[in-house]
Amino acid sequence: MVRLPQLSIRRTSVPRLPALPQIGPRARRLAISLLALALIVSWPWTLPLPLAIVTDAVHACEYAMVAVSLVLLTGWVGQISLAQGAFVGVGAFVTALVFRKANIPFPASLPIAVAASALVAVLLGIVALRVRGLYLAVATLIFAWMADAFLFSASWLVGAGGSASLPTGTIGKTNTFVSFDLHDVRVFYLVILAGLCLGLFGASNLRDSKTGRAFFAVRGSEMAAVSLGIDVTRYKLLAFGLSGAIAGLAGHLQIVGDGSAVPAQFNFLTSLFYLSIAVVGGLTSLSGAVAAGILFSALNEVFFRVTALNGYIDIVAAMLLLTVLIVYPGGLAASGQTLGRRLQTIASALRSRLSGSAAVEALDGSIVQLSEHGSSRASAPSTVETVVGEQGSLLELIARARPEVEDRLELEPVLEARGIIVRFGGLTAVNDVSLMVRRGEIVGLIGPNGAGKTTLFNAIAGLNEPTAGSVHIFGKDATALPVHARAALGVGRTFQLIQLFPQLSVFDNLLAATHLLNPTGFLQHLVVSERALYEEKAARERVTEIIDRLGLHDVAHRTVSGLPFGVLRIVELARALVTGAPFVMLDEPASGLDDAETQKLADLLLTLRNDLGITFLLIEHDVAMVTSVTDYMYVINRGQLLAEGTPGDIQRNEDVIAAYLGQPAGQVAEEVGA
Amino acid sequence: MSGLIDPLLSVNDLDAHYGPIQALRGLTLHVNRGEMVALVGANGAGKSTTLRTVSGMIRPSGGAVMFDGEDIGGLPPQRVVARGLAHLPEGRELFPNMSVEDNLRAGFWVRRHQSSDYAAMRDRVMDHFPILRERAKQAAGTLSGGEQQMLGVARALMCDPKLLVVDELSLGLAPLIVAKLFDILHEINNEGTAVVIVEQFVHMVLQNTDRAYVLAKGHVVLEGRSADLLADPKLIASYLGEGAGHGQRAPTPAGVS
Repeated sequence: MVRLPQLSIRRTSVPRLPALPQIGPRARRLAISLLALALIVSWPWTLPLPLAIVTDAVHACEYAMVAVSLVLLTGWVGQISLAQGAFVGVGAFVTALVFRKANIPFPASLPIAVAASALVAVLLGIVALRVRGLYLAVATLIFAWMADAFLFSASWLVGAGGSASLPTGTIGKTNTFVSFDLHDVRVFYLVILAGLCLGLFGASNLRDSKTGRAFFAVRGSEMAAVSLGIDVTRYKLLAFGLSGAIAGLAGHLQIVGDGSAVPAQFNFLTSLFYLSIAVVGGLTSLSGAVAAGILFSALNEVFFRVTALNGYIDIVAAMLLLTVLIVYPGGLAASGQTLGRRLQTIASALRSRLSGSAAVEALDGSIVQLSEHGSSRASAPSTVETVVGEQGSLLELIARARPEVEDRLELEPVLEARGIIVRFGGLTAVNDVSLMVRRGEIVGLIGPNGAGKTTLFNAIAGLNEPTAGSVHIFGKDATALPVHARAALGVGRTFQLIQLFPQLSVFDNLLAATHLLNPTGFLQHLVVSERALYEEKAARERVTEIIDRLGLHDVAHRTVSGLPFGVLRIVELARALVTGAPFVMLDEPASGLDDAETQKLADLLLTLRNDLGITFLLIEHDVAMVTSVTDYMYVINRGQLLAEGTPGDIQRNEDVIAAYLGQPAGQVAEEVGA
Repeated sequence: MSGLIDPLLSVNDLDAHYGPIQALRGLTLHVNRGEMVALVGANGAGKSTTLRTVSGMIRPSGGAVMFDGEDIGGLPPQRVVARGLAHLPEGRELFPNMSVEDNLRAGFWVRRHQSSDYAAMRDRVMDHFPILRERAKQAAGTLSGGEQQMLGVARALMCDPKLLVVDELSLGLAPLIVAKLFDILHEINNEGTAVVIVEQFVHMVLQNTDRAYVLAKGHVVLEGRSADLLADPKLIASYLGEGAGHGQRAPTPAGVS
């Protein structure tokens, strides 16, 4: 193993999540939280406000809940839904249905209503798996329309007379201490507030977990997500189910509060209204969703109270939406963040003036904090200098240095592709190509333009299915496996056009790659079990080590969009390393890099191979780079294997030279008579 | 031919980006009046990007492009072509549903205010391409690959350019057709139009040009008289890395197991 310079400043150089600012001693924070809670719970009784305001608060909670369901589905997973109103409706009508048919009252009917909405949402999700973007929006729109036209007009669901009713009741014995009279809007406010808190609790727990990162990964790049072992289908359906459940909860509570519901409340215009709330909130932020819920409820009240404004709410809401879309694409959430940052700056300036020193205490870095997600994306040191530089700790991955052998045939095969044929219609893009990558090797696959390199690479990676032939990875037949299952066999990859998750920081991009290493499931993430917490900590430590090793500290907490291209290439390679895959496929890693960056990349590949025993297969246009770094090369031309051998053999192979430069002094040229 | 004091096209320290990716890094080259110049280099070296930046399809992010004594860096393509720089892009980009004649008329667009000259110009261009005259009424998309490439060249010539830049002349064409196209380019060149050709088939293009530039990673790594470059071992090295060259024959592909 090559001895690497040990960094003496390792402790301080470890990238860590920015610590939460210490407001004060624990007791003081607790006191503040309790005070806030008491205020939020008791204001309907203690403040001298009309009951109408409490009703507005109830609406705000309802809007916020549906907006949260959209944040999860659309903001995080990227699945646009114009059918959220239908999910709400299912929750409401099923609540009435189970009361009517089975006499199941309010608290007991909650899980049934929520499950029904979740189920309906998953059904829509199954249809939606096949479509993306605009077509997905249209599909959900059609679903909303069909729910309105067929489901909500069915008397078995809605009840006779086209409206469902639910006698509002009480929980417990009236006038005893633990009784809730839901006729009292103030009491109902507490119920719906609890519902909203439940939704927020679950959603925010998921956001900061493996599940949440899988969501973000699916939105960022499905191709990259599957390459990290994330089962995109599963997570899309999970998101639909969870989103439907939260929306269903909102519908359930809505009918419990109102006592009745009519189908017109849940048509697709309602869905659009909900989507507007989520968009104004910023679409990816939970707190933004809550703020937008409050804003829209307040607007409702104002436009209802002020006679002069009657009838203009739609226009104003539309203007608001347009303004947000054009001027503040981040919605209320982004504006809130900007405001928060300004306040923080002012506060720290004040503090430093008072105490005479910068607020250094605020940074307590020795513990990796599982902090708010938003803060982990906060700005970090901005210098982007040498990325491939000093190596830090000795990372124990698959620490198996490359054995020195006379003959590569003695090495254990990592990848074996046999007789690969890929046909597109009548065109044979790859014709009977076999290649083998052995443990600890760096193998290059080259070929002139249009030779079929990428097609072959994709067949090996699982992105297209070969017409014939087989792919074995670590001795296991992977020919028919989907990409995420191949990833589980120990294959990582990078992409020619970088496929990082643009909304996430470098750190979170790498964290998403710990997916396969983390055995906990979404229920554990929902309630933040001890196991989930432990795995999360382990994942963060792992990412920290890789960041350390590749010298990415300076950019660790910056969002990937806006970073220099050469850095992005390294980040993508780092992400493949985080998965722990002993075999990494690189798709044109040097394209877009300058000479110095290419050289650094080549050095890095050699270091990773020598120190960690990682096996690489790269396809590359830059043949000079490939010859400098590989142990063995395959050349394909016109879909067929033209040559294979060591770089030296390949460089002197007349067939290869001819394939790259054209036939020397051919007959054709003589005819032309240059 | 080379060595004139006032080059027709001079590109100095040119940078170009596709989003975050830098495709040209300080590229410098020139084309003299009446010269025929080749741009070669491996895939992704920046050959096509050079042509696109020169003709205004990509805005340069640094450096200068001087054409016929004027700074054309950053000008939109329709104004560049009006100054006499015609670009035949890779894949020809004909209007497949329009007739041959209409394609040529479209090529005359920047000269449309001199409409009386149209027929004369068309006849002059078609003299190089007798086959197109026969097919004047036929839809461009129904022509054979070689005829389509000829139409591409003809359409580019309709604006009476001082410089014609051709991307991937031989793409998808049989060698004999390519030879014929080179013949025609020589004719055009002999009438005084400078020509720049980007080409995969290095030997062929070097045998048919006066000078050449070898590009790699977005800049020029080798330049000189085409005939000299043909014999230069550095040419092969620029494609296949240091140490490459015609040596002993490597073993033929063996079984992989």
